[in-house]
Amino acid sequence: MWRGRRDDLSDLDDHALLRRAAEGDGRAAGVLVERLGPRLLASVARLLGGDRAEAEDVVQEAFLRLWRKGADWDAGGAAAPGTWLHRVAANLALDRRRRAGARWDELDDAHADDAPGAEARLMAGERVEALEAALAALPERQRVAVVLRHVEGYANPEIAAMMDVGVEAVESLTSRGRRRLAALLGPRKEELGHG
Amino acid sequence: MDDLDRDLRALSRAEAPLPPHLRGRIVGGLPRPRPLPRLAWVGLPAALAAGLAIGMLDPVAVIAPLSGGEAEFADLAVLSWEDLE
Repeated sequence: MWRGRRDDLSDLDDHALLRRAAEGDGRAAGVLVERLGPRLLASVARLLGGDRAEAEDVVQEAFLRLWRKGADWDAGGAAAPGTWLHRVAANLALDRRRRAGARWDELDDAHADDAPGAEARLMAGERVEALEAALAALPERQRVAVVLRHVEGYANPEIAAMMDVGVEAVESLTSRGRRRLAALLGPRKEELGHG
Repeated sequence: MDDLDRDLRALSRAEAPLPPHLRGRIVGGLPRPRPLPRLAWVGLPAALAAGLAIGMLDPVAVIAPLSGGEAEFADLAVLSWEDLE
């Protein structure tokens, strides 16, 4: 019986699940978490350079904010819950970095040329793993810009607002980040099927 | 769009399984519906009974506010028990 009711919930769309969750329905919340959580966790971990523990904290905080907002969620006007979650989580992740004292200027190029172990990790992975490893090897600010632009699909002005920098800086960071990614992946181009 | 762009975009579909403890913390953070205050369990039936009593004693006082404009109110105000019957 429990299984059947759970299957019923799986048929509901995200808005309906959120409405139920906001009313305290733990099963609906569980289905929504299982539906949206794994992709969100992967995305936040990528933004944070693979810091899994911090990524989990961010994902938790984003969902708790979603529950609080769910009570008066405007299904017709607001973004889809998944889209909203990704944006909030990205902002939370960047806020944490700023609060932790990360200085974008220092982080930008300090490790640009010595990414320790990056090539070794590239040798061990397949195509996706290699790309994740290369992203993790980027200087933080470049990684954030490339992930937000090319993975998450935000527009440059949105990224500029999220990173609290100018649009030109975003363009420069994504451009440099892409060049560096290509350089990191270059030696394995044929092996990874880019040839 | 080159291979790198395609691969980067494909990463957006990558998933990381949620550990059970994280799932538990997220679902455990659901807002709990506030229980009805104990006084309300007495107050609600009392208010209902009072409303019924007023309706029985003075139906016009109940019907008039539910009707539309002033003219209807004036019509109702002159109604007697006999009219209603």
